[in-house]
Amino acid sequence: MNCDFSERVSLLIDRELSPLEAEQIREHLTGCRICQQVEQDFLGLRHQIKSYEPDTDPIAQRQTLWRVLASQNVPLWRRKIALPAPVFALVVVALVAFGAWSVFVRTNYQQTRQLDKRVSKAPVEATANAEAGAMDLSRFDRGERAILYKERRSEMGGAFGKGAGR
Amino acid sequence: MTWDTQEFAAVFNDLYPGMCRFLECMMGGSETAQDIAQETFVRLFRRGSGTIPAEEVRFWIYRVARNLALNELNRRGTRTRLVEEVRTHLNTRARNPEQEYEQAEQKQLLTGLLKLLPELQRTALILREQQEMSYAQIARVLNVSESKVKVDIHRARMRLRADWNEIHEPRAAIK
Repeated sequence: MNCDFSERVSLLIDRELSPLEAEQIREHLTGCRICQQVEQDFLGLRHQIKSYEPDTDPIAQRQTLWRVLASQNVPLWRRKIALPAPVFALVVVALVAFGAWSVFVRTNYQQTRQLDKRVSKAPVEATANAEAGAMDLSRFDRGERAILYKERRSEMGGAFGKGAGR
Repeated sequence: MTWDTQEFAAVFNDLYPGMCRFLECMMGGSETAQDIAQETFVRLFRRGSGTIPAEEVRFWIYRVARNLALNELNRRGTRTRLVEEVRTHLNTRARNPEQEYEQAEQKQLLTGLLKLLPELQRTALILREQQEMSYAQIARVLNVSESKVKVDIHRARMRLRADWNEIHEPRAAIK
């Protein structure tokens, strides 16, 4: 046997009805044995659920509190962090890219340094060669300077030749 | 902002026993329930003081506990196992009623029957009966509408009542 008022009985015991509705249901309850039984059973179940005693004892409770508080006293270097896999992958890619870039920059820098060293060394070598009576070949580039040098030398040689003839 | 120890201990002492009771009824065991309750409070502690309004802490904590419990239940695929456990328990009880204490038996029976309810109905009913939350508060914890809570609680009661009465044949009043 059933009665359509059972849902409202449920609302009545939960105090979720307006005063007027609650009054109507109470009136109904006085004359309906089915709903009286429903209310009694609902209240009995409420008592069963409410009186459920958890297995936790105060000592275990205190220990838990201590563990929770102690969990935050872990030194920074021992703390664990969790990263989502895509973020971790992104970090790894970024690190690899940074490493490759720094190697590239360093190699370029070393090459430039070596070139600079060679350029700054060249005049010193040229002077030393000139002092030793050798030709200053460092000034030659693509042959144009060599031609000019040759011409000037032949002119000077001619002048010397003339002077010597006197 | 980190929690002041005294302040956190007050919140813990206020909510932890109820949380354990809720989780035990929801999961049907004290071991995992206590682990989950502990994990919930660790999360609250890590959130820091003041990040959740004081009046919201209770709802937040039950929401987190429920999610953790659901994850655990899903992970273990407990649903099927629980039904079997309840059946086994009922069969054992029918065979050897004198071997178990009545109180422990009732407790076990209640959690067993609660576990047979759909999760939302079970959680809504436990929050209502144990924590005495209003339908609006339960709706906030479960993130559903109030009307759904109303229907779920009623269905849970009807189902639980029917199962309870079926087990206690010939009919005995629920004490």
